[in-house]
Amino acid sequence: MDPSRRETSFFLGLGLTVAVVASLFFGMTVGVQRLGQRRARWVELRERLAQAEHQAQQRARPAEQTRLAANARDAAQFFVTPQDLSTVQEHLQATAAATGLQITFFPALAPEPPAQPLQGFEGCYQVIPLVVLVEGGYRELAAFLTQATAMSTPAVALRSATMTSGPALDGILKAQLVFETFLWIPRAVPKQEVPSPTLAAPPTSPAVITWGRNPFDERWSGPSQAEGLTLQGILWDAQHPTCVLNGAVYGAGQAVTGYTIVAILPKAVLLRGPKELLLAE
Amino acid sequence: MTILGWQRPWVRVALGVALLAYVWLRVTLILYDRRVQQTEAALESLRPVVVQAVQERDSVAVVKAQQQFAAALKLRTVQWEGVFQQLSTALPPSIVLHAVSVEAGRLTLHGFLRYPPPEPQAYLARVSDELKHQGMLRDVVITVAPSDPDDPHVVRLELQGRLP
Repeated sequence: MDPSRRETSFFLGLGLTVAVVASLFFGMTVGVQRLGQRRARWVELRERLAQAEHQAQQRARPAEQTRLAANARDAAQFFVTPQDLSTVQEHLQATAAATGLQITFFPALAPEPPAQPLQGFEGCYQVIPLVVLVEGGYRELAAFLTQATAMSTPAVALRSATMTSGPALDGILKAQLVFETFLWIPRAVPKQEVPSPTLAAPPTSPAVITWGRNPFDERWSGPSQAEGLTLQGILWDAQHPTCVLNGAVYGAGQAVTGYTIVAILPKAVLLRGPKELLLAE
Repeated sequence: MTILGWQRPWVRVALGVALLAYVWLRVTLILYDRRVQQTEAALESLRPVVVQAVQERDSVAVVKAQQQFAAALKLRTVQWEGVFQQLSTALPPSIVLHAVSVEAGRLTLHGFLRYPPPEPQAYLARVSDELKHQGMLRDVVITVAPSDPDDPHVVRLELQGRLP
């Protein structure tokens, strides 16, 4: 072969070889890259499928679904919607009537975020304030507040209260009460694990407490005997009143069986000692 | 091809190996494509069940939160009858209330003390101790106004405390 043709053939062959090797290398590289992508996608899909199958297996059975639905209904009863606020008013009206109080409702207010949200439930609920005016006796008001705040379908809590004695000073109270009802925000759940509620420390005194006097009642009234002292009479004189205690006559400032007579009033005697006593005729 | 050495065995072997690798690559790619499609189809068929399961799980979480809220609120609820009872027994007859206000867990009593002793603060400290002892109030603070010269038998007072 002619040396010049031989040289040309050599370079042509070399160029062809380089082109074949380069295209093979390029094709294989792209192919391997695609294979890696496909494999990664398949692995990811397989994981998602396993997760989905796991979730599907956790789906409640029909009986369980019925129970869950019942639970959801029960839990939802604790909360109100602005539409069924009248139910709360009816409950409060009935409770007031049962405890002998007069009740007046103010117009219902719009839902608002709670001023002091329960710890852990921030952003989960709103409150609907309900302002009422009630008038009645001390014990009746206590019973009304207890029964009203014990309601749970829907729940009612006392936000604030202002109680004042009536003009007659006979212990009848007028109270402006602001109750709160609760509106759960749909699908809301606490952002963090809710701390388990802690019980308040029990009082150190005996659990059974009897009723004493109405502290709003300005009238001097009480029993005629207490702590071994018996009031047998009052000899009223605006300047020098005296009283008969346990058969003896005493004046203001005198001591009797550990008690000091603080004041002698037309119908009652006030004594102070280990505790305070009011003996009335 | 003579120049490229086609007739040399190692060149043929190299080309054969390259061809085989290329075929293997294509076949594997096709297989993975099929697997991906099958898995996507399986996922799609599971979608409604998974959606339902997720909704159920969310609903369970909401119900649990609502139940916890109810329990927490119940614990925070003040037993008003007890508070009123304790107030009626702990306050001596010489203290008369004019107003009581409750706001954010704080109880404030406005009233007056009739026939105050020479040192009403010490006397009222005993009253506040009694209220604390009964577990009715914490952190009791009593403020006494100066006695009115026109009516020395009465001093105005304000009692503040935190409900337990």
